[in-house]
Amino acid sequence: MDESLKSFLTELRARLSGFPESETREAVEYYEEYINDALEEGENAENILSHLDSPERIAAVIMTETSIRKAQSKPGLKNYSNVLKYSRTLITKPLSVLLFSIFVIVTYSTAFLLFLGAIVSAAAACIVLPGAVYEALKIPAGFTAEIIGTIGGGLFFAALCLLPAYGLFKLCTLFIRLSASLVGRILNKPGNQLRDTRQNSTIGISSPSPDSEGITDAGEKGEKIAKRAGTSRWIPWTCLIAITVGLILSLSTGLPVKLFMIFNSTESSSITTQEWEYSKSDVNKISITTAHSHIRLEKGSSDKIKILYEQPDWMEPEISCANGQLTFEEKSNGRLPLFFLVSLHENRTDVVVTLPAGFEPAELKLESRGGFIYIETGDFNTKVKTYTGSIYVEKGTAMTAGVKAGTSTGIIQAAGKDAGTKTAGGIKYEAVVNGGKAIEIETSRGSIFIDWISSRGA
Amino acid sequence: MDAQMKKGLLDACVLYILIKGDTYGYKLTQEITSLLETSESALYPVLRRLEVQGHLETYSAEHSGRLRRYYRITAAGILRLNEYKVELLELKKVIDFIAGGDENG
Repeated sequence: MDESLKSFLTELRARLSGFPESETREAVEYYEEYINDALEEGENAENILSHLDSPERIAAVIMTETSIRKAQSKPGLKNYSNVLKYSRTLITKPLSVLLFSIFVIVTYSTAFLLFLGAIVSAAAACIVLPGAVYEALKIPAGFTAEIIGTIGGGLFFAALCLLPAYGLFKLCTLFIRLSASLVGRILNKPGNQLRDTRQNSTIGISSPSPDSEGITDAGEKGEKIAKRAGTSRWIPWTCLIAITVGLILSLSTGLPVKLFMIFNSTESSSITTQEWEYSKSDVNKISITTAHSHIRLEKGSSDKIKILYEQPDWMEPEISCANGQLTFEEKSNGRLPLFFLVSLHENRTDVVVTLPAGFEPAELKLESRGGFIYIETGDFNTKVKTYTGSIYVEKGTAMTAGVKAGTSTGIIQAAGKDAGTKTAGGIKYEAVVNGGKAIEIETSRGSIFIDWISSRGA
Repeated sequence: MDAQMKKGLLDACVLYILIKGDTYGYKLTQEITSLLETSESALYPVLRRLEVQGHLETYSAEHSGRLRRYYRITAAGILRLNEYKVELLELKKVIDFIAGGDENG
């Protein structure tokens, strides 16, 4: 065989490197056989080569064609990027290169975003269901309804995440199929870059559209496609069934209603009121901590220290009085799932602490995670702290204690006006401290209102 | 000629040549290029596509000390060819119509 023919085959093989070995071998063998047959028929090397395209072009056409076919039968990001990689080499005109670059960027990023969306939704579904089961396992055995409700809710949300994941994934594959087919059409356009300069003819790049492929491909392949389409349809149906079952399960237990009421600051229906009374001679220090009930500090007419607690059925109080220390703590009884998040929202139940006139504790601590704190009395050292709740201090004429307040992301208003100095960590406010007595206020996300005329009656 | 149309015609021609008997790449190319103006290297992608789609199959046979790959049409390929024939008959009607119009005009 002539040197020029050998180098033609060597270059073709080199150009096809990076392509599956079986495909490369098949193509090179075809052209080798073709050349041998042509020589046998008496053609000379120069004549043969003049009738063939350059190895570069042949390789690019084969690789593009194969990659488009692959992207359509298995539409994934990798296969689509191969289509773009190989077809790029077939485009040479500067304007076409620019337009094709834009096409590549737009279609590839769209496909990528669709794929990413599908992954994120699927990941969310994978987290939600085990998370719900974990939360349900933490609920004490006595609360069967809440356990079922939590698992039902998890099922509902997981399926709700899985459905768009499936939809986005299908959309992504459809988009890749269409884009790959479009690449084929762009390259096939008459008078386009593919026109062979020597032969003045075009090279056919095939791009069977997905539906026509399904119809025209008889035999095994068609069956396989139909089978794939049939088996994948159970996913959305399973999702819809899971959504319905999950919704019915959780709704029937009343758990969503309970959470809805909390998150909409609606008065709870399942409340039992409890009251404790202590003699002021027994108490020196007071500490009140709630998860998300409000705390109200009031001045009373009797000479007893009173604590009134509106107890919702998902809470339990813990109260003790020893050695002058009165401690009240509101805790979750484990009935509500995700209580850590639930308690960020205030619950419309109150812990009312009534202090007798003239009573002055050595230390007073009021703390609530998600509830509001109202202080209507308190000419003594008081420490007030919330995470998301706001704090109201009714510092009328009777109250002379100074105020030190700070909030990270909330606002501070004193006598209806914006007050305080902005610092790196939020807003700080300080009013004159009389006789060393001060109310120290701290909240992370809530706001602080001083001199606030409470809208609620005493 | 429009590339899409040529692509369809190439497929139909290949299948039609094969229905008359198995043949090999060089022979097939010569027959096609005598009919349609196309690059001689353009046929390989067409053959490969038809093979992947199941319209034809290949086998090797010895020829003067080397292996030669022969192409054979499959049942699916015969069905596809019949579809092409129906399409081409429709096309023929249009061509006759246009050509007839020329004669009358």
